[in-house]
Amino acid sequence: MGLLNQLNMAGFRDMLGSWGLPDAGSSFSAEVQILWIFCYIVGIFFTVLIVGVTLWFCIRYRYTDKRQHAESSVNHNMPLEITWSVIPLIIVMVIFALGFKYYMDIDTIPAGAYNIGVSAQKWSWTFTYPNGAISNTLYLPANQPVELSMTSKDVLHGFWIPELSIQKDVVPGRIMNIWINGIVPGKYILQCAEYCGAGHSLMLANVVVESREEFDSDIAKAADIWTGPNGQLLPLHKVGEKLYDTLGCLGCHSVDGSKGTGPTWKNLAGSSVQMANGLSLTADYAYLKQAILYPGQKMVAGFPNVMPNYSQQLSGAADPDSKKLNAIIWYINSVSNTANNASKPPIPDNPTTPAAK
Amino acid sequence: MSHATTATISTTEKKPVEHHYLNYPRTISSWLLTLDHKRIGIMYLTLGMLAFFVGGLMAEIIRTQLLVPKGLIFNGSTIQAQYTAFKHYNQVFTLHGIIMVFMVLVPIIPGAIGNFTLPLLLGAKDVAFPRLNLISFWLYVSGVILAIASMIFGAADTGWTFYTPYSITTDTYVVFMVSGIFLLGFSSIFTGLNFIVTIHKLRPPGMSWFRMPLFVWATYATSAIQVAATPVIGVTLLLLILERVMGIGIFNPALGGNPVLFQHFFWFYSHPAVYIMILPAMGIISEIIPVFSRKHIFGYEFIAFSSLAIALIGFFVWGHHLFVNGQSAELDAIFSFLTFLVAVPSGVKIFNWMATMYKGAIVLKTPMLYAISFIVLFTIGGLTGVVLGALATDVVLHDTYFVVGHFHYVMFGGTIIALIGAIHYWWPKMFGRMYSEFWGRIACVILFIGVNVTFYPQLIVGAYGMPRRYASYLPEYQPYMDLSTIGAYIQLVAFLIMAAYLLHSLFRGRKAPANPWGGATLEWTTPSPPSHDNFDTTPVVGDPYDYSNLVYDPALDGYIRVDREGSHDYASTIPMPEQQAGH
Repeated sequence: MGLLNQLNMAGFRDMLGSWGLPDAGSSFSAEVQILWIFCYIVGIFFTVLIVGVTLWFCIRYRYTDKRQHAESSVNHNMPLEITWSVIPLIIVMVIFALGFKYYMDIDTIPAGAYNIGVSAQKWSWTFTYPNGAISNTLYLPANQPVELSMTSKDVLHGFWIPELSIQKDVVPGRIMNIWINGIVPGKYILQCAEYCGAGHSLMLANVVVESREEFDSDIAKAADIWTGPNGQLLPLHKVGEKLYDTLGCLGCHSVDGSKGTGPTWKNLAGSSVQMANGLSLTADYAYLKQAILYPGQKMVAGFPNVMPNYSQQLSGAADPDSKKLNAIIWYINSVSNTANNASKPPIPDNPTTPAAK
Repeated sequence: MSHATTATISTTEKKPVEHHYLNYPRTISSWLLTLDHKRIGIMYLTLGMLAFFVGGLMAEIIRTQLLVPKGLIFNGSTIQAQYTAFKHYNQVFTLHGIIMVFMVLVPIIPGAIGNFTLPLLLGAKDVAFPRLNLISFWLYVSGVILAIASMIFGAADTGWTFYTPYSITTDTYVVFMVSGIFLLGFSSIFTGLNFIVTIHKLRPPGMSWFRMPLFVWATYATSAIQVAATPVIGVTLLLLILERVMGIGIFNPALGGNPVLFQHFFWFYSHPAVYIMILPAMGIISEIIPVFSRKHIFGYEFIAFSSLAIALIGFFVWGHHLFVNGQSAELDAIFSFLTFLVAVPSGVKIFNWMATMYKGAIVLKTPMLYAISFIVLFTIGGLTGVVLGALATDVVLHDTYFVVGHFHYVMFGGTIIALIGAIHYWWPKMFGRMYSEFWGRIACVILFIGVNVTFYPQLIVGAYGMPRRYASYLPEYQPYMDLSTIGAYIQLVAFLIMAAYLLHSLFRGRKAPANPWGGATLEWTTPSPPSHDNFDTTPVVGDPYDYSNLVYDPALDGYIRVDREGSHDYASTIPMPEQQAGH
């Protein structure tokens, strides 16, 4: 059967290392594994004990014609009962103490950690670096404590990298801080662990733990959204296409006409849009700008009011000359057959020199 | 002695027709409006099994979807198409969770098994408030209808936990579903209240607190939780509805609310609710094991008090569901500590059951096989819980399939297995018929294998990092996901066999004797099935776990009580007048 051919046997083997946990990738993985293995041994011991003794009793004391009644024995034995209450109590208290001790290492963020911003939304992750770079890939410098300041734009999400032994919910309306020290360079996958709706299982991101030099180079590349792979300046609609990806627009808005959580961008610019209040309007530049920065103000008929507000990332200090915003609107125009002068941004689409920092 | 007794309510005297609670009266309204605890119990059981069937169907759909990483049933070629398809998957797992938790696990053991057996175990004619009992049942029906009706319009896709703010913003029919659960909550409160009063007031002369069967103790502890905790979920769900409909700004961060507050409220009920599910199951096991070991229960007081200890401490551990939600480390530590405290009384019960079997005469009939399955599966469920209770390991296991595997070992391997054991144990009493012992054992063994093949791979894949509630997953998880699905199909086979022989037994089964297993509790002193009034005379109360006077009679294929010279007969040693507590 085709199914069997698809089985990934290499992955199957990998799982059996480290007593079933992924191989250690961060500074606290080792502690977590010690506790895991301790619990594992305790678990195996008691399972074998309980199952073994129970089954042995079933055989040894089974009902037969000769054995129709129980042998007389006591119904109660206080010292015995206290013993089997106290021994498990001591064992679980040891597990509690170890769990708490190691947990404090995970929970206490060291001073002077490198800071990366994490923004979660349905259904993508965006990472912001100190140099202003925005990326969908989480780059982490190896052997360096990194503090992650996480926010959610909509609902609960869960930041979860199994190999780095770290998980934290991202609660909207709060800043959630965690830290990681990735000690084993490599590529990992961040999975959303807290249920967040239709795209929950697709809310993945690549994580790269790499040397400081590679890290610096990668985030420098990511910071420059204005140039292409060969160093050439890009037209604004190409820049807009990048932002469509990194800012997470693609989670809800398709560019091929298919229906998503939000209206498709295909043939949107310049077309007539039916609004929730019964009126219709033309999707011109002013409307598109308002719809991106303050999405709740004018609602399109048939869509829920769930889009996060982008005024933080696309106006003010984050986008002083509105060039990013205009790049996105140029991209929306580029996928529309009905685009016209009224729907296009006031600045040209041509490649231009980057805005002054 | 009392077997073959016919009810005296018979008016026609043509033939000696055996009248019992099932066949007299026969009208439909006499069932739907009955005040008889036994009939209400049977109706709970029927509806609960129907709900279990629907919830199980959802489980099979979930497992079939997860056969391939991209999803076998709900999938799409573009990302937008995947979103649309996965939303349906999310509705399916939400329904599975809601049906199984709120319509099966919480209400069924008290509603079906508790209602049927509690007055019989106490030697009483009925529960304290028969009308409240009927209201409780109809609230259950209304809740089920309301929640199932939401499937027609667009079932909730929130997961059974209804976490905010997702549950506030999704466009599915959350209010419908939540209202249904609100009604189910009242049903649960009424049942709990009824049982508490019944246990306090309707015990027969001679049955002191420490001569009650342990299932009664477990039911008592459960009822206390139902009455004390369920109002909290009622209020929480009401607030959720208000937030959705009116935007009162308590849980929605966009309006200044706190989504984590919802989680605290939710788990303040839902963790004790886990004990509503497991305590009566433990009570059942405490009944089955001594009967089928032909030996007195070991450590009666320890088992009784451990139920109360679990019920009490169980109220203060809800925060262990929030270890990665940004609650302070101090709170995390306190909740972790209390979680470990509650683990101990559960372990004590297991040791007591094993000690009961020691030197017994163990009869491996179907109910006993389920009790042994319970011990094995609950042990695995409990020990995996220990890893989750420890803070550092919870961080790497939270919200993964490890958690899914853990609670299915406890909820399925524990509660459902005990429920099935109870159905087999009291089946002759309920319906007056025996089922096929051969097929009963076969189904139990298949089910035991199925449960392990389903849930053990989930523990492994979860430890490796696969998150729960995923409609699609990384390819390396596939072998385990496939094994788990095969296990789910094995379980389906077991349940089909079970349905077949139980239905056959209903119509064609051999007539059951009054006491087929040799139980010493009072329900076995009345005919199978009992008359409308349960007992013709006030039963004589003895030690509920003393089997020395019960001997097997091959003519009856059941046990009869004999008064043997020299044997210590508890009943005869009771100084009756002084012991009339509660009257």
